[in-house]
Amino acid sequence: MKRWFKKILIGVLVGVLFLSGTWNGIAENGIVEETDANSSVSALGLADGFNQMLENERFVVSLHQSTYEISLLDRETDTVWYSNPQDREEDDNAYGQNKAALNAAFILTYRNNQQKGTQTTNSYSGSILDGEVRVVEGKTSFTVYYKFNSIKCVVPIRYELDREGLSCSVVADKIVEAGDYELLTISLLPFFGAGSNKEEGYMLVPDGSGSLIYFNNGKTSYRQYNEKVYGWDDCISLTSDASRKQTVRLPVFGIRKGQQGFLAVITQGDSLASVGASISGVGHSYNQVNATFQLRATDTYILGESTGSTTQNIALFQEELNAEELTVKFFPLTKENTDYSGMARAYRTYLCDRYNRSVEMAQSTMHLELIGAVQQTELFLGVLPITQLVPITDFDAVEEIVGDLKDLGVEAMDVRYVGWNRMQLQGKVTTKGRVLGSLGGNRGLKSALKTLEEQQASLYLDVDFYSIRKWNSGYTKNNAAIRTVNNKQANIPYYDYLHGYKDAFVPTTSILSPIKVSSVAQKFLNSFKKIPDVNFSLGNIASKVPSDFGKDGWSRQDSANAYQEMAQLLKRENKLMAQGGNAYVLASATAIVDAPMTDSRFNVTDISVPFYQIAVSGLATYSYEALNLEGDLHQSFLKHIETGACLHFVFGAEDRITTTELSHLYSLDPQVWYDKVAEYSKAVNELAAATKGFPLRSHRILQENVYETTYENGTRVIVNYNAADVTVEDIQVEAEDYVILTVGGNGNA
Amino acid sequence: MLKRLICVVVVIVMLFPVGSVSAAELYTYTYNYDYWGNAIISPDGYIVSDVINGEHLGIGAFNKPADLFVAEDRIYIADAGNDRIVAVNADGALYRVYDTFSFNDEVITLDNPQGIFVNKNGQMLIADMNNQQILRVDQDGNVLHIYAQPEESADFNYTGIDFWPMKVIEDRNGYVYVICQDVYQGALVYRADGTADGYYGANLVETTMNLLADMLWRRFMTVEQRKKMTSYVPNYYNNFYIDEEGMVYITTQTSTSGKNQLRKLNPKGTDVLPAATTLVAAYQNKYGDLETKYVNGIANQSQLVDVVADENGFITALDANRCRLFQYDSQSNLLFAFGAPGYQEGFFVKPVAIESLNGRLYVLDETKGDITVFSTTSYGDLLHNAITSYNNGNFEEAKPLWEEVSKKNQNLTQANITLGKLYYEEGKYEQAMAYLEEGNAQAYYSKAFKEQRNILLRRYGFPIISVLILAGVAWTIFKKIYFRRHPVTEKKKKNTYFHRSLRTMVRPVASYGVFLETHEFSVKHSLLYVSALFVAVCCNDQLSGFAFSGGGSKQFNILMVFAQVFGLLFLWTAANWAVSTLLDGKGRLKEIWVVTSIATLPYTIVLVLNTILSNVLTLEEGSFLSYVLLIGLFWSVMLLVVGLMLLHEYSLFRVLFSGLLSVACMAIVVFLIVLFMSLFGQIFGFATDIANEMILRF
Repeated sequence: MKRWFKKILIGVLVGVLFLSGTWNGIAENGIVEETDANSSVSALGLADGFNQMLENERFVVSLHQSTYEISLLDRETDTVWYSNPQDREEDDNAYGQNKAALNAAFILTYRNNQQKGTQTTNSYSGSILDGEVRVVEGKTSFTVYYKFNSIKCVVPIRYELDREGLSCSVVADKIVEAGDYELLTISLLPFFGAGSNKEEGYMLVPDGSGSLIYFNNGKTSYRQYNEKVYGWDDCISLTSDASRKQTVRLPVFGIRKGQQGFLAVITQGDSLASVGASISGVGHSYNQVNATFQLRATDTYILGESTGSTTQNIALFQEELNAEELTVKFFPLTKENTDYSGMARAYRTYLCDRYNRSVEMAQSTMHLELIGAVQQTELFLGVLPITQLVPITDFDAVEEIVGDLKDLGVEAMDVRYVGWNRMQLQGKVTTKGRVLGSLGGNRGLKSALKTLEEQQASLYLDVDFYSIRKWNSGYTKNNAAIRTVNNKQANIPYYDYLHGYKDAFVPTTSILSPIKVSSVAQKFLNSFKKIPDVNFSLGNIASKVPSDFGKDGWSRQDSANAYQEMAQLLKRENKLMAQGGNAYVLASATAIVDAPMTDSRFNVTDISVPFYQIAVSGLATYSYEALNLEGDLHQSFLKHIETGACLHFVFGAEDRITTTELSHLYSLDPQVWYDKVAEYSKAVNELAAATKGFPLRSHRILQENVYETTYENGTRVIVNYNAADVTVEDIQVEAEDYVILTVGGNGNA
Repeated sequence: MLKRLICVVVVIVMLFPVGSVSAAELYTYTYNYDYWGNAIISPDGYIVSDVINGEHLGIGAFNKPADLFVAEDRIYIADAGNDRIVAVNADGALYRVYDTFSFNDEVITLDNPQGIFVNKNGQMLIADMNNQQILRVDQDGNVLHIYAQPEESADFNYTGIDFWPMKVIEDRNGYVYVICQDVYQGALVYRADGTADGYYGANLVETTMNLLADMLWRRFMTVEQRKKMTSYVPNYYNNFYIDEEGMVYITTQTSTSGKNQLRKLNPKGTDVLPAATTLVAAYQNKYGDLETKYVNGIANQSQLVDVVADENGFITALDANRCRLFQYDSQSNLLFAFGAPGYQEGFFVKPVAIESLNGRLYVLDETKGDITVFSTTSYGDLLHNAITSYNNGNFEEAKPLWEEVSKKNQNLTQANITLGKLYYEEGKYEQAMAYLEEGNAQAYYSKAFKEQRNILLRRYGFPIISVLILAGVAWTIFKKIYFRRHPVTEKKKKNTYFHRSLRTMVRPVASYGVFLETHEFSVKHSLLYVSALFVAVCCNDQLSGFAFSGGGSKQFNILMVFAQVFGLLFLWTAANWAVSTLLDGKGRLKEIWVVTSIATLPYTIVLVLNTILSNVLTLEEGSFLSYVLLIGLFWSVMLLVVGLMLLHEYSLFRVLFSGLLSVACMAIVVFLIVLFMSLFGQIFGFATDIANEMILRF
């Protein structure tokens, strides 16, 4: 009721204002009073050209009077970055809306709620040509209000300057909508720094570890890059899920053009964003990359799925606009830092500043994952389901395997222990943290902690507050499950593991609302008051973000914030492990498993780069998917050496797991892998001795399949993936091998 | 329908969570199938090592490339949209572009070349489709011969409407085989001298129930109605590959059941590809994905479009519909299935051709206009080596390899079977049995079981037999002494209800007569007998020896058995009562039930016997066991017939007639139940849909 009332009120208010034709009224009565006292409305209709708006010791921001495009002068590099291509009039490849969009500060998609389908407009053709623009100035910022006549809305964009760069925000809580029109998405500054088809350079997109798209690479027949930050929102239904994509872990993108470059970070509203890039030849002659924000979530309901004959999709839309502030901050880079390594270092600095963290020396070289117990359900006489928690690796076995690894030469390791808690295994809300008796119980845990400490190993108990199959402890599906766009309890279907089809025979699951996560985590932590020296590892919450449309004003961004807070809560002794490693857990995580090793190998992207690794290096150790599940071990191992990653193995003391639940862990027997553990540990130890725990500094492509990584202490590693020996800079690297070069002399591999 | 019913029951039963731990990100995109045909994850056997496209070669993008051929370390691409043949060296560098050819000093060009083949002498055969001819060209682009549409002759009849050659190969003897559009007789064959020589590997129309029903319908249709129906054309060949030994591998278009989409034909044209041992019988001879997904009522299944085989007999087929590759060994066992639709490396949009060179796979995508190169991973090499050394008979070399395979991929059925066989060869029968049971290899298990049993017999046979003989002798002596002291005066005849029931087995007429005379029909006893049958069926399912039962016992469901035994007998009783009431039978419901239940006794006994014997006999020895069961069944039916004759006071003919009617009656009831359940499901779905639509739209 409240929501309806609010909506009607706003509607009436805006309607009245529009009817009276007083656009000035909005500006004066509604907006100006909230901005800085010294602000003044800049006069419209002055002479052509840019007007200086903001200035500090390094940058000058100017605004074009008639096109409202932005220029950002970086005095340190003498570079000017424009929000729109300056030679756009000469583009012969762009027509119609594409041509108009070249002038735009943003592109909107919207819908008329009386009609089917969505439509697109942009700030140039919809507002500058068919509406009005007003500028409100402040001390360190100014806001441009775009009024669209045809779709009766006002969108304010605020530009703010500080010492690092320029922030551009959609002031979403001041967006005014009226009539039957609803805004859906906004693509912000689509052509900021875009490279023309005559320029050289590349775009960085955050696909997995990071990926480069070279300007004008000609791949116009492939699907262009466009991916959601933090991956798919589990609250939105999916017809089939067969994707094998790497998730976007970091809300960043960047452009390097000639010798210049900038990094863009989505600093607010990252969970609502997606990053898209396109190369010249797709609609126009420019290579562009930008962020698009979801103002309203859309969902699909499939009618007729149960009867199975013909189905029809119904589009559902979020009722209220996401009122988050949505910000992209552009960090112009200085001379030697303009490549992707420089972008990664700039992002690392940004993370340190934002999350108040400092770069530390890496200690461990191994992330060991051990499977505690597994839930196995068998049908007694084909009818009675008997559910057992089958112990796989108890604490005695944990101590034994860690001991074995120690003997094999693993010096320091982080042990992730999965499947130790009854509630977790049964799919309940994990409000208690008692260790299964069959694994050794809390006593076993304490003894293991002691033994492991002697072995320089840290134990991380894996915990998750995500997928729920049974409700308990006062949490019910009604009060604690996430809700869909139309306010229904979300049932997450099981997607066939390999083909991606919905499997109707597997019961659906729910997801614990992020609103509840902190209180659950607090209860969970109470169980560990007497065991202060245990650390935790986070599962899904570090790699997935669901929306919850059940609570007014709660957006996916609030979910991410709740997860960030919760992660902080579970950080003990300054240690926290996380799976996947989304940007928001970098506020607290010190070890990341299943981090992205490469990009997704999209056809449109050209090369995979270790942006993620350089950015995270020094904040957390990282490892990739378990080596013992890799098909091609050696290639993967070389990638570890190239990117300074920890080794990751997943073992179980009882190796014959016949349950389908763990059939993806098809090689758990540690004995089979001990020779590889020894071989790889020796290599990793050698590398660690050379780098002394310093973080990564840069990464270079020397030639095809030959890469060089440099550490902050000057150590260099050259990896050759080719099937033949290569000689680079007078250094011979054997086929599918590597060389470590220390600052003093040449160490060899 | 029945399947749906079973599904409904299964769903009701499965009110518990299975496998719903939200999966972490996938480690791999490769899978295999377990024995029951469930897709199961596998380590990658191949990964993308390179992507070749026209732009990188500097010759402009490929335009709808149609075919690929590898010869002498060179890759030939039929770039159909650009009317040219492109040759690329194995290292990925451009060798030559053939866009014009000279024929008798004339320059000729191609029009939509769909197929390319290169023989040992480096001569190219180009299926120049829109020019309706096949060119034989040397490496310098000189046309040596042109094959045109064959002329009609007395012993040859070209059946196509027009001549549209699509794919072409040549065998060692210079015979040229051509797949033409609209020709369903098989591949057209030209002799070495260029004259047509009939068809090769004639393709048969698949006989399915649908087809038969369809043919029946057609008989009752008017000509117009018939025209509207889709015509059934034979499955026709869409692509082929010839190996060093002259074996021809063929992929087939449109197969309703999806079976036999892949064939390996010998020079005579017969399919010699064996059925896979790693799959349950229902899926044997099925290539590509095993399951079919229905989207809006339309079947979405694998469609193989090309195949390649390497010198070790590994066959890789390409699925255009699902954008996947399937690699089989020479025994049709699936090694890897991988690939998916998408714009990523290793993903396809419209893959059309596959070739292999030096252990690498080359896949051509028509829409993307590129060639994806796959090379083996360390796991792929391991599995290949393991299979090759086993097939070559190097068991000593094979065993450690297979052990490693099994440790690195526990999901592989083939590893269990092969290890079982290897242990068998070593004489370690106990381990062999364990592996073979895991791999569901019944026949081989039985062999190992025989050897193991012989060992046990040799070890314990003498003492056991000695003890038995001694016990027998002792019993005889004891009896003699006992009867001498207690002479039998009158042999007591045991005459309880149970004894009389048992006696029906040998003297049906007399014993049933006693029941009818005394009017003693005990429902309590009859329930006991049927329960005994129920228990016997369960035991037979669960306790039979593995050699006989296979892994089927794992899919046992006691409720289903209960429904089968009790439900079927109740239904029979009711149906027979209804029928006999109409046919002036004397029997009442209770009496029919009791007579029926007594008649089950022989079958129960035989089932128990069967269960026991299956645990001590091998498959060969036990081949008579199925006959024993049949005899038991026949015995029971005979008892039932006699019992009903006496009960209803019917003639034999009348009993059989009423029996048949009862069975028909039962069928109708089952049909109605299924219909009702299905209808109910539909109505329920419809109602929920309407409700949802109302809520969502208003």
